[in-house]
Amino acid sequence: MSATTEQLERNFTHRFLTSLRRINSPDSKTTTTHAAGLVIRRRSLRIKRAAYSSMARAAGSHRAWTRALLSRARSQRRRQQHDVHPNYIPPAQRRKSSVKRAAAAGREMGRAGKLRGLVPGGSRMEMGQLLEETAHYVQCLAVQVRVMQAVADHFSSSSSM
Amino acid sequence: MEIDISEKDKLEQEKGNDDNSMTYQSPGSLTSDWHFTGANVTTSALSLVPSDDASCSSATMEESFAPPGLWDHQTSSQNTGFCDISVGTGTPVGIVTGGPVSLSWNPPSSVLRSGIFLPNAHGILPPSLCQFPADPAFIERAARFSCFNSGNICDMAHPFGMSEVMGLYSRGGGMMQGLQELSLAQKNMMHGVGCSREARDASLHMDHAKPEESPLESDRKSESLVRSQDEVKLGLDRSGVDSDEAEFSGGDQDDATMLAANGGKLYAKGLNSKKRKRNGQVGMPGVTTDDPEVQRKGGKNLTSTTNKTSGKNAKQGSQASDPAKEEYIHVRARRGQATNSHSLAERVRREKISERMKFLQDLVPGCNKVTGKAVMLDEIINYVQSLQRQVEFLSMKLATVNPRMDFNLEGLLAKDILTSRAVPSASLPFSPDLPMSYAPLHPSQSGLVPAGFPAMENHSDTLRRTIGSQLTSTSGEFKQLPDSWNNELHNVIQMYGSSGPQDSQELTGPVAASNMKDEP
Repeated sequence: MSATTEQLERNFTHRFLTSLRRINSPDSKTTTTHAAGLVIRRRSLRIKRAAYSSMARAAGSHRAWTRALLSRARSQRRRQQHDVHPNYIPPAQRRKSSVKRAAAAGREMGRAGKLRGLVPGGSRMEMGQLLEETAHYVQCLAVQVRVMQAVADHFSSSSSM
Repeated sequence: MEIDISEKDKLEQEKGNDDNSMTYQSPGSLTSDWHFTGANVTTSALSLVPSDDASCSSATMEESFAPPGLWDHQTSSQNTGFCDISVGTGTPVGIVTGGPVSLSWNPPSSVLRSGIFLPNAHGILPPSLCQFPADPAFIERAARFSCFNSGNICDMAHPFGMSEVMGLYSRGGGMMQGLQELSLAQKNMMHGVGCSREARDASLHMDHAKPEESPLESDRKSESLVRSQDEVKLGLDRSGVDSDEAEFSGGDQDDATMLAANGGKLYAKGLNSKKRKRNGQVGMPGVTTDDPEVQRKGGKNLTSTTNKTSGKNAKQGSQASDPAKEEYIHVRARRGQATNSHSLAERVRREKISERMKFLQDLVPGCNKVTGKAVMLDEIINYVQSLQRQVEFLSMKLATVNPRMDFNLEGLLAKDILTSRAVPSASLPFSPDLPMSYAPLHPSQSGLVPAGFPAMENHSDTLRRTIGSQLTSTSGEFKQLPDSWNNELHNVIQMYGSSGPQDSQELTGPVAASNMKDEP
């Protein structure tokens, strides 16, 4: 298991750093128009999304949650590119899937519903699969946190020095 | 006890895998042929089941077919004790005998006829699993399968393994019936295990298998299959059991019960309704005395029945207790439990879920003492939420830290980061007992995580200052940042071991944290 974890770590680190560089270096539309605070916030959002996407790709697509996460990221990106305001949800999509799924996850009372809300793609799975996906998701999240922590430490230490 | 003896015999015989093929032959008597490498399995034991079961299973699993008479004894006693255990443990080892394991495995046609299929069919290990090539690495894989990774493999493997198995089985001729059975059992068994591989191997061997069948045999097999369902947890071990069962070619054996791998549910019904001609012949105490439902090899249930049977020699036990039940198929479900197919399926599902909960318990730190699904789920939810919050926090932190990545190559950075993780951060002045518990994967590196928090705290202070200085026109949102950071930090610290230094700021609860959270 540790071998897989290390491999996952390396994979994720690589992808994450790539996307970090992509986010940080051009900085085309960040600084000029918006306030500094918003810049940071927007960048943090992108970093977060990049982190999750990198982890999903590193983990592999044989996991249901990685597929769900990546498809969600894809649809979000499409939405953002087409619509100015990211909060705008196209009526068709709003009607069909998200509401139903959210309702389904919420309808299930209690903890299982909460867990479904937390794990990507959890609303579609049944309990057994949900638990399995949760286990894998937790492992990947732990790796992600560890790597991000290391990256942050590395950068903060290098910048402060 | 005879069982013990047979177990030993089996163990020795495991070495001579070829013996199996030699002994195979009695077309009519399948039962004795079932000795699968169960003995091997037990030795290799990835996860050994209680000795009672082990002894029972080993008896059935013996690769070298013991003389039918001896087997009868054993099988009878073993019927009660599911062989799953032995199967599970020995699967990779015992089963694989290089020779053609085509133990005449009579597909439990009777079972199939009953038409009861397990509703949740996971990959079932085909009985021919026992024919796994003795692969030392296989054991490790099997061991690994039983843990987390197994889920991955299983996901991939299920459809694949099933199809393969199915295809191969059909080739085996006359195995069609068994195929379904197997698939069902397989699915049940393999759910935690890398079944695909086993299925494939098993199916390969199926070609050799002769469809020797008797309704009795099939019943027996189904029984054991049912029983072995429990073994799923053992991962490969279970598959081993199944295969062992499958190869059980001793016709006289009531050991079919031992077979039961996941097919337990399936078979339970069918078997119960079926009349067994041979039940009377073989003193299968397990079968008759066993509960009418064989579902899994619940350790305690089996042992109780096993004890009964072993105590008296299976024959006596079975005959004494169950002349009336002779006509029924062996017990599939546990004693005193409903035989309804729905409830059996439910039970399987529940066991699957509890197995996964146990696995999660190991993952989530600090859950060892927690018992009960509800509390466990709460802990899991809290943990996932905290991890997601940490990700958010760190991404915010990374956004503020402006990295000079121009000159840094990714590879260089990656290496630096990966290597620097081994060394705790230098900026860690505080006690590292913060979220120690939440570094489940690499305890050796847990120093970093706890270190991170105190370090973060420092950073948050400095960041706050720098941010404050930078912002002349402060947006409300921005001012919130350092506060939320501290809040988040405090929240996390508090939740997971908060012995670190406390910031002067008050915790405002998860409100600030939730503000930051856009999406997981």
